Amino acid sequence: MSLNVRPWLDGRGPSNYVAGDFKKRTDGDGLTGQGGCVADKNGPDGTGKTGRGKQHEADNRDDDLERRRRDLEASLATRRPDRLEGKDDAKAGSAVGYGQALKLSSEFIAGIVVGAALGWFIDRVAGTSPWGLIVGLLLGFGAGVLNVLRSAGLVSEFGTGDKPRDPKE
Amino acid sequence: MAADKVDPIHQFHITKLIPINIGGYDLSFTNSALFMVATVAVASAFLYLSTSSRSLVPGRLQSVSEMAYEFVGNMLRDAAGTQGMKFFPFVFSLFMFVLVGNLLGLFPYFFTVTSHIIVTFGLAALVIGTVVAYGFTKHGFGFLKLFVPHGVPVYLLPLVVLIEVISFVSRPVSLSVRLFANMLAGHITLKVFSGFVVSLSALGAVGVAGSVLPLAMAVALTALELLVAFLQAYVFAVLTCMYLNDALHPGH
Repeated sequence: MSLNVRPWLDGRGPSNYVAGDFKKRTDGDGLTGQGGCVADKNGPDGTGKTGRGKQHEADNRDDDLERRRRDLEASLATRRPDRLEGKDDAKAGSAVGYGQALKLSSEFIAGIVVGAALGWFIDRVAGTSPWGLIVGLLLGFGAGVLNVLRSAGLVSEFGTGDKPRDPKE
Repeated sequence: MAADKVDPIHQFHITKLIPINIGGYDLSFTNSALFMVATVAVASAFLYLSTSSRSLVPGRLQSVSEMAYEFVGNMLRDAAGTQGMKFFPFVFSLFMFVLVGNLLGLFPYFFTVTSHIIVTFGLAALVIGTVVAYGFTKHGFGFLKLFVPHGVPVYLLPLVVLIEVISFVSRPVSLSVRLFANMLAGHITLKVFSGFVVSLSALGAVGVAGSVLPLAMAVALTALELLVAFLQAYVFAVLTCMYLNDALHPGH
């Protein structure tokens, strides 16, 4: 059954399904969301658990498909505006995005530079070249990621356990 | 500047105005130092003169000064609490110095003090030095709790503490780099577009017509730079407040 339905769905909707799928992919959302959607539609029908699928079997297959197609269109319609709105927001906030990008990149680079500098300094003092630099660079990378996450408000502030700060300049 | 020599970096050159050499150290009074002095003089003179009348209903200039005062005061109170108000003179001076330095740099032929990383790093080092010194005098070794997040497994602690320390040390770096990079990039862009106007208008009538585009761009960029001057002073002050908050309440 599911083998039958799949090509049907694929062939049916270049207008909505395929286009939606492509958009999904370019948005970086991955195939998983769409695949999950298809599997949901197939699942009940393929296993024959839904009452309607059992009753009408062959003659009402078109109705069933029609219903599913409408469901799919509805769910796609609810997803699409989200994506478009997101795009508009990104466009409108480009100046804000520029500032944010500059902020985050400076945080990241500062972490790496400081880590590498500390490692280099330890090398100079203790004569452990090049291990201090290597370890310092790795730790600095970690600190840079931590800086970025922290200034994006995704990780708690210094010294606190469970209180992510809301992102601000 | 000169039509024959369009060098966008030239504006950042340090020139010695009064050569001073003490004990092998070059302590010359440079154009950078001159504009730092000018920045301090302008900021102090503005604040002093605008508030000298002390009228109950403020005039235009007095209300500008009062707005700056309230602005920084609220910022500090929000970030570091009422306790943080003991740092108000420090934060307000920093804010006014960076703001006036940025704004003075927008005048043609003026030197931009904050476009040199050593200046901004000096300011950031002052901030972080204050944080560390105050944190240790107030809390002793309890200040080190700052580097130990709650709820981290013991076997991960050395790694996490190391990363937290590096993250802390990288704060003045990112603070100074942000201010310096913004001012440097803005002034270079401005100078490049103004240079386009000059070199295009040397091409005759077509060039003069074409130079309208970079001219419009330069005007727009000047407005943007004005915004950036305010924004970066604000960001610098806000981050200073947040770091001071760490010194006041480490480990919460």
